[in-house]
Amino acid sequence: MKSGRFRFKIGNRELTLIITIVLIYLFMCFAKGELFYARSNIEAIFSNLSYDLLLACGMTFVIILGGVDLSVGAVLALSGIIATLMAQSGIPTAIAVLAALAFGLAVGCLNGILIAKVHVAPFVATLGSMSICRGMCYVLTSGYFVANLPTSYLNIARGSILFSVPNKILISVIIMIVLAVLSVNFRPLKSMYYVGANGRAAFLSGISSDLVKIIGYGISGLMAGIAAVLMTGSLGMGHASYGLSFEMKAISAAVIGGANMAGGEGSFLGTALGVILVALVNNVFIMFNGSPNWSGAISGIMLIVAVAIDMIRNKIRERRTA
Amino acid sequence: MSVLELRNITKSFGANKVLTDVNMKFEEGEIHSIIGENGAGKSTLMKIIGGIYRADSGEVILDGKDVVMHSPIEAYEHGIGIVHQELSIVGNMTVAQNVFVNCEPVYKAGFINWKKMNSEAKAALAEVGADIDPEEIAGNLSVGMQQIVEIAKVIAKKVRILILDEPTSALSDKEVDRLFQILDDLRRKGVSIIFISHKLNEIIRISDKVSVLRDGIRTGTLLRDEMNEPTIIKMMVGRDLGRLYPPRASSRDGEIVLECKGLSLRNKFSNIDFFLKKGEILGVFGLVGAGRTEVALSVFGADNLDSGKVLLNGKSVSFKNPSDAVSHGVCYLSEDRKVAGLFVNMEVRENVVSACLKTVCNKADFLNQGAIGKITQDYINELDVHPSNCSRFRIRNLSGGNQQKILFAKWLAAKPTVLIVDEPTRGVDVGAKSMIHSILRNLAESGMAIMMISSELPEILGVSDRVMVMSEGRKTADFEAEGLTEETVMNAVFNTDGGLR
Amino acid sequence: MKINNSRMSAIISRVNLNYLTLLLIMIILVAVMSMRAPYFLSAANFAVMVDTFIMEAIMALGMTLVILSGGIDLTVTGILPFSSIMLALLMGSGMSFFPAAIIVVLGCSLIGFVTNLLRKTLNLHPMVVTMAIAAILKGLNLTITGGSAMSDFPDSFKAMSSMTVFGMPLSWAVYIVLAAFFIIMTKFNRNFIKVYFVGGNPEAAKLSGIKIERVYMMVYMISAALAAVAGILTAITYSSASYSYGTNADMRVITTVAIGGTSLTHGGSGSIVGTMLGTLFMAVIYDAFIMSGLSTYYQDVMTGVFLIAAVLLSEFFRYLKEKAR
Repeated sequence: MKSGRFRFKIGNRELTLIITIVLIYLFMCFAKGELFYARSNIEAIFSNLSYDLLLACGMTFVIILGGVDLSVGAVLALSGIIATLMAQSGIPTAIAVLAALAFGLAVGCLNGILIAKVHVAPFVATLGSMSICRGMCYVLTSGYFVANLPTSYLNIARGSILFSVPNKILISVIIMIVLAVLSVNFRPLKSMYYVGANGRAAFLSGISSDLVKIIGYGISGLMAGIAAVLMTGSLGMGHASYGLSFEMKAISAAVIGGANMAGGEGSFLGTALGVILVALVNNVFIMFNGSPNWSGAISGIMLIVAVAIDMIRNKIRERRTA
Repeated sequence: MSVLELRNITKSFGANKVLTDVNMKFEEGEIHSIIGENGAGKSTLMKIIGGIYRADSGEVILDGKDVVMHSPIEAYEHGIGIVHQELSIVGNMTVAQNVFVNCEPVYKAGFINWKKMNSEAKAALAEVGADIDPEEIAGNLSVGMQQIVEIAKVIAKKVRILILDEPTSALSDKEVDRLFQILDDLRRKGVSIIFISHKLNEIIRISDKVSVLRDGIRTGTLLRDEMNEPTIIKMMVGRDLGRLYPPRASSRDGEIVLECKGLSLRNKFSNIDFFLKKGEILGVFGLVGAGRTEVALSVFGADNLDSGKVLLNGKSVSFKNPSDAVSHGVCYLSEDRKVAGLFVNMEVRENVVSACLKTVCNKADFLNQGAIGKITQDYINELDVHPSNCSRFRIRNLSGGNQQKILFAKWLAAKPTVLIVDEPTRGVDVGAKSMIHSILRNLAESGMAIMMISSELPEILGVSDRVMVMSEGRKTADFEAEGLTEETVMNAVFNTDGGLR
Repeated sequence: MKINNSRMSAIISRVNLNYLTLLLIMIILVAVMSMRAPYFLSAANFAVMVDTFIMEAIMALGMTLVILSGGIDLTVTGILPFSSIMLALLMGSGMSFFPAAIIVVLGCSLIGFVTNLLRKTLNLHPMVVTMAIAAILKGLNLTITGGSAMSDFPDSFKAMSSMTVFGMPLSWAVYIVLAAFFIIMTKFNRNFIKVYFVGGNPEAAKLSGIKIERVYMMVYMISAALAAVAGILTAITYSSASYSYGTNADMRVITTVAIGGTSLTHGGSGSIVGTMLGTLFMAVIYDAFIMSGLSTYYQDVMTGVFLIAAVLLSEFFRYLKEKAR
C-alpha cells in the first residue's frame, strides 16, 4: 500500500471527466478544425478559467463543509472595485492588492461567523452578503468603469514570469495545486472533511467545528479577492457587474468534480476538471452559434445532469450490492 | 375471531434481525401489553402494525383478512391508531389543529370549521380528562401535556385498535392515573388496546394480557391472574448465559482516576455520584431515558452541568468542550456510531485518526500520512478488523461489527486514561460482541479506567466489576458485580418511587 | 421582582415580537420622514410607494408558502420576465389577452411542478435546484428577446395599463384579491394549513397521514404561478415584455417574507399577514430612500442588511420565547 506525502488519487470520476474532456476536444477538432484549435480560441477558453478556478476552489471547501457560498461573485466585483479605486487614486499597488484580499477574507469570515456561531442557514447568510456587496459596488461606482490603472497593477495579471504563461493562469493554477495538496495534509483544511461529513461526530472527536467553518468561508472569500485582482488587472478596469452568476458556475464545477452538496466529499482535481469541462462546453455551444447568454444556464443544466448521473450510478451500485 | 392477529412476523434491518417469527393475537375490548428490554423489538412490531414498516415475512391479519399496509394513512383507514414514542406534535400549531391534523372538520371545499374544530377538540381533550385550551399553541405546553394532546389526537380518530408506545414516560403520576381511566373506558367500549411500556407496575395494573419479547422473539404471553413481577422479569431476561465473558479485574486496588459528585442537569439527571478506578470497569445500567448518556455527555464537555463536581486525578476539572476533555485523556465512545461516532463516507484511516489529528501532525500542522497508515494498520491488526487491508476502505462498506471496532480504534488512538463507552455492542453480531468485551477487559488491565453504559443486562453482569443502576435521572443502586443476578438489578430499576419527572 | 419577571415572560410568550418591532420601526420612520418632508404622508406618495413594490408584494405571497413549507424559491426572478415574454409571444401571434394569460400562468406553474420534481428526485436542496432553473430561464429569456424589449402588443392591451378597478390600478386590485384569498386559505383551508404542519415537523406530518410531497408540489406551483401573474402585470404596466424585469426580485421577495416574521430557519412559523406587513415595511423603506435623495443603488445594500437582520432578530425572539417558557 503506497502512501506518499503528496499523493493524489485519480478516482473514477476524475478519469471520467478527463475522458469526457478529451473526447469533446477531439470531436471539436474534427468538427470545427482550425476554428476550434486556433490559439485565439484556446485562449478564449482559458481567459475566464483562472477566475473560475479560484472561485470553484473556494466553493469546494464550502461544499465540503456542507454549505454553499452565494456571495463569491459579488465579493469578486466589490474587491475588484476597492482595489481599482485605490490603485487609480495613486495608492501603492501592493496596498491596493492587499486591501482586496483582506476585504474578500473579511466578508468570507463574516459569513462563516454568521453560519457557525449564529446558526444562520448558509444560503441565507451568503445571499444577504451577496446583495450587500453587489449593492455596494454600484454605490461606489454608480455603474461606471474604474479605469486608468497603473501599469504595476495591470502587470500582476497580464505579465508573465514563467514560460510566457500569463500570470493570472499561473497564479490560479499554483493556488489551486497548493490548496489541493494542503487539503490532504494540512490539519485545519483536512478537518473540513470531518466537519462536513458528520458535524456531531467531529465535535465529539474534539475538532473545533466552528473555527473550521469560519476558515472555510474565509478561504472562499479570499479566493474571490484574489480572482478580483486578476480579473480587474487583466481587463484593465473594475466594474460592478463583474462576476455575475459566477457562483452558479463555481457550484456546478465543484459538484461536477465530485463535491457532494450534503458535505464531506470533494476533490480539487475534480473541481479543476469540472471548471475546464464547463468552460469547454460553453465554448462548444458558442462554436455552434449558440448565444453567450446561455452561459449561466449551461452551468445550471450541467449541475442538474451531474447530480442526476450520480443518483443513477448510486442506484445501480445499490442494486448490485443488495 | 381475533380483531388483529400477527402470524410469523419477521423483520431485519440489514444484517440485524429484529423480529423472528412473532405470533400474537389481539382481542376486542382487552388491554394487551407488550414488554421487553430495549431493542427487544417492541417498537418495530408496533410500526409494522401501524403501516410504517413492512414485515419481511409473515402476515398481519385484520378481522380474519390478510392485509398489507403501505403507510400510516392506510392503517388509519383500517381503524388502527398509534400514539408514538417520539412526540408527533407540531409545536407551532394550536392544540386543536394538532388533534385534528389531516382530518379537520370542514365545510364544503375544504374550509375548516374552526368553531366546530375547537369545540370538538375541547370535547376530545375532556374525554382524556385534560383541561387544555384548544387554541393554545401546542409548543407552549409541557411535554406531559403534549403527550396528552397526542393521545387525544389518536382517540379522536375513533380507532378500533389503539397502540400506545411508552405513553407514560413523560406523565406525572396523576396524569398516569387519568390515562388509565381513559384506557379502561375505551376497553369497555370495545376498543382493543396495545400498550407498550417499560414500567412493570403499570403493566400489571392495567393489562388483561401481557406478552414478553426478548431479542425479537416472543417468550410467552401471560393472562391477568398469572402476572407477577418475578415471572415477567424472568421471561424478559432469562436467556442462556452460555456465552463466555472475559475474567474480571485482576486487581481491585487501583487509584481513583475520575470522581463525580452531585452532578445535576435540569430535566435530565440529578445528584449523580460515581467514581472510576484504574483497572476497573464500571457498568452503568438503566433503560432508555434513564439519563445515562446525558451524564456521560456532560462529563465529557459536550453538554452543560447545572451543578456538581468532576475530579480528574484528584483535581477539579470542568471541560468546556469535547476537545478539552480529549486532551485531558477523557474519551467518550458514543452510542450511535453512525450519527455521532464515525464518518461513514470517509476512509477507515481517516476515521481512526479523527480524534487524535493533533498527535499525527508535525509542528507545522501537516499530517504525517506514514504515521497515519501505521497507526491504522496497527489497530486493524490488534482489533482483528476484517478485511485486514481495509485501511483505505470507506466505513460504509464494512460490517457493523467491524465498524464498531474502528470506532474503538478511533478512541484508543487518542490514548485515553478514562474511557466512557456507550452501548459498545449495539448492532454487532455475537462474535464481534465477545471480541469487544475482551478488548474492554484488556484495556482495563492495561491501566485504563472504563465506564460502560449498556442496556443489555448480561453484558453488564458479565463484563463489569461494579454496577451502577440509573432510573429516571437518578442513581438507584450500586452493586459489586460478583455474584449479582439479573433479578436484583431489574428490581433496582423498577423499584423507584417517584422519579425526577 | 419575581412577579414582574413572570409577567414579563407571559407577555413575551404571547405577543408577536416580530410584528411589534416592525410596527415600531415603521412608525418612527414615517414620523421622521414626514417631519423632514410633509409630502411623505400624501396620497400621491403612497401611490408611488405601492407601485414600486407591488410585484414583489404579489410574489411574496407565494414565497411565504414555500418558506413556510421549509423551502426556498429562487426561480421567481426568472419566471417574472419569462411570463411577460410568453405573453408577448402569444398575443403577438394573435391570441387575445385572457386565454394567453391563462396559458402563461398554467405554463409557469408547470415550471414550478418541474422544479419540485427535480428537487424530490435528485434529493437536492431547493436553493440549488431553483437557482439552476432560474439560470436556465434567464438564458431562455435573453435568447427569445435577443436582449431587447418586446412591445408588439395590440392597442387594447396597451390600454390596460391605465385601467382601474374601483379607482385603483389593476395591479393593486389583483394584489388585494390574491392577498385576501391566501389569508383566508391559510387560515381556513385544510390543504393550505398542511403547509404549516409539513414545515413545522415533516416527520410528524407524515405520521399523521399528510402526503407531504403533494404539499411541496402545491407550494412551488403556487409560487411559480404568482410570479407569472406578477410578470403579466408588469407587462401590462409597461406595455412591453423584457428579460430585465424582476432582476434580483428573488432577493427582495425573500427579504420581505423574512422581515414579515416568517422563519427561514424553522419552517412552519409565519403568516401571510406578516408578509403583508413586511411588504409595507419594505415599501416604506424604499420610498424613504428615494425621498432622501439617496442613490437607488443603496436599495440592494439595504435589502441584504435587512435579510440578515430579520433572520437574526427572529432567532433572537425565538430564543427569548424559549427562555420565557
